[in-house]
Amino acid sequence: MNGLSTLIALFMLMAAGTGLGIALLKHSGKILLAELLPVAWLLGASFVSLALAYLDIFFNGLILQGIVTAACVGLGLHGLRSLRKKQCTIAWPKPVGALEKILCAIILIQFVIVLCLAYRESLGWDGLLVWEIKARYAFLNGGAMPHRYFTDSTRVFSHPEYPLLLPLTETWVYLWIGDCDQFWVRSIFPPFYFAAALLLYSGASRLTEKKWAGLTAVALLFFVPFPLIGRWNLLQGYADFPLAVFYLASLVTFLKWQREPSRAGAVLFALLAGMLPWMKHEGSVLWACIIAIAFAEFLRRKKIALALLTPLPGLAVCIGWKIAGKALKTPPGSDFLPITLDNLRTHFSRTGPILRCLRNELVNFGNWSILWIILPLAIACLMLRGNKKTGKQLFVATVLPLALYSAVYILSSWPQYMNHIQVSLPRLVLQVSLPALIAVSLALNDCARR
Amino acid sequence: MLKKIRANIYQAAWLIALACFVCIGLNAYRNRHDIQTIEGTGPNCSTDSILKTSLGISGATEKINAALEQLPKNMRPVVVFWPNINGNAIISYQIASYLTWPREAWSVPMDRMRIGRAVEDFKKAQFGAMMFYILKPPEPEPDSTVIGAMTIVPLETNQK
Repeated sequence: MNGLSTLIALFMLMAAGTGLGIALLKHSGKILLAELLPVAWLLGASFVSLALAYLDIFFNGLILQGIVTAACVGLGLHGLRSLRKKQCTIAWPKPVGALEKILCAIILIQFVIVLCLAYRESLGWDGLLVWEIKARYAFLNGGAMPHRYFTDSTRVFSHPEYPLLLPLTETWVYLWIGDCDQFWVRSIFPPFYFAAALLLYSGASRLTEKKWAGLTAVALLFFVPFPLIGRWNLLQGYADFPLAVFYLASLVTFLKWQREPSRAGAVLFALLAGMLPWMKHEGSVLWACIIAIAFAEFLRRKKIALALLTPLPGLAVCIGWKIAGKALKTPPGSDFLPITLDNLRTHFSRTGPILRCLRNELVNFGNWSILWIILPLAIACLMLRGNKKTGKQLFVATVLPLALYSAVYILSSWPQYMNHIQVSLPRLVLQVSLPALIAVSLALNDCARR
Repeated sequence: MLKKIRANIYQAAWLIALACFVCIGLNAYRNRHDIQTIEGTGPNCSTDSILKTSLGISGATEKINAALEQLPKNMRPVVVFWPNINGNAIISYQIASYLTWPREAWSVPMDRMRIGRAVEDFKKAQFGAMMFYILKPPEPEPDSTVIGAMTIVPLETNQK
């Protein structure tokens, strides 16, 4: 029974996301299912979590669930009406040729393995005591985050200051089940893997106009071990891979916009990028990086309005969450020292050890295979022979966040800052690993063209 | 001709890189670290799994919940004593805190020698229960519930 309720919860979430996705993708006339599904999943989770977060000011319990359900159904029906009116059609690309068929078979096997791994793995420390704990307390309070939680000094270990996209998506499942269920709540994590796979496919195949390049990117994702079997992986309920998927989605949407500019494409990009800070604090850094990349392109094309408008959803999320934190008197996180010249000067000597840790992590084959070894080669290939601009953008999208993340450790307030690096750096590297896979598949296409 | 050879070398290099990528990735799956698997398929499968490691018994979540159910609904905080020499014990405190919501859950890392004095102090204060992880109450408590390595001592009961 709980399984059926979980399915209904996920179906509602997908209905909302599909409605929003169709509204934003229909301008192209033909929507690829491989593009719509991941966007629907990400927009659906964003919509449900934001709706629960804002509506819980006025409602809770069954009324809250009913209103959000009605909104999900309404959005789904709106999308269906667009399809009925033939404003757009949905297509599923079929594999052609032996290579594509073999790659599809490999990917299907990988998906089955992902589901098997997901079935067995327990929620990890963050998954349970940072994210699911919030979902549980929100459910026990009728779907609304209890205000007392944000000021409860005995639960600061669970980071009450962290944003709520993932926990409120879990709460949505609990509301449908009618109870907290650590078994079924884990069902929201494999869809993030599938969304990443479909985004890699649609991104790489659109940019190269070769389906096999997209399929190769998807197949390679499985051979990057950290997302599935790393110490802090997706299936344990950690938020880093879902954050990486939002980052990939916003990057792919932007790169597609660059090839086929449209207002709806820019809106979709702004929305997906804007959800980065709603997933995790580090999302603000990724958001700033992707907005900087887009800003440069908008200015180059003299699209001043877009340059000014696309940061708005992200800014609204950041400022809104800051205001909520102040209003709820949430204690600020205590992992980092304030950014002052004195602090920077005092701890600047950490730069060397931090860079050494970063290097060691990038060559940790047990986590990343040789992804970070071939990335510079791939970027170099793209810059020298293929698409120089895309190469540069992918370089910035992977290297800039890593540089900023590493720099932040200079201000770590942990007594042993190396411990801080050890427990968090692999997860930060994970957040930018998906654009690296896009770069590799683009370089492979360039290689095959020669 | 030279151009063709160069292109072939280029493609061969990428093929070798891809093969290495796949082999090293697969090897990591073979050598994966021990994962924490779920304990059954029940609604507490993750906390049960963690508590089985730390408390040494199955189905501990339900047992802790049942013990907490016996306390009056006045939401007085609980206090969790755990041995400060055992760094891993903090996760047991955190799981206890996770389960005791909406009560506050105070963390008191302690050594065995000083626990008697601390327990006396907390008994005088307005607390609902004391939870001892690995540590034992200094004196036998008749109302206590023992759940593996954890002892829960109510400081007030529904009858009182």
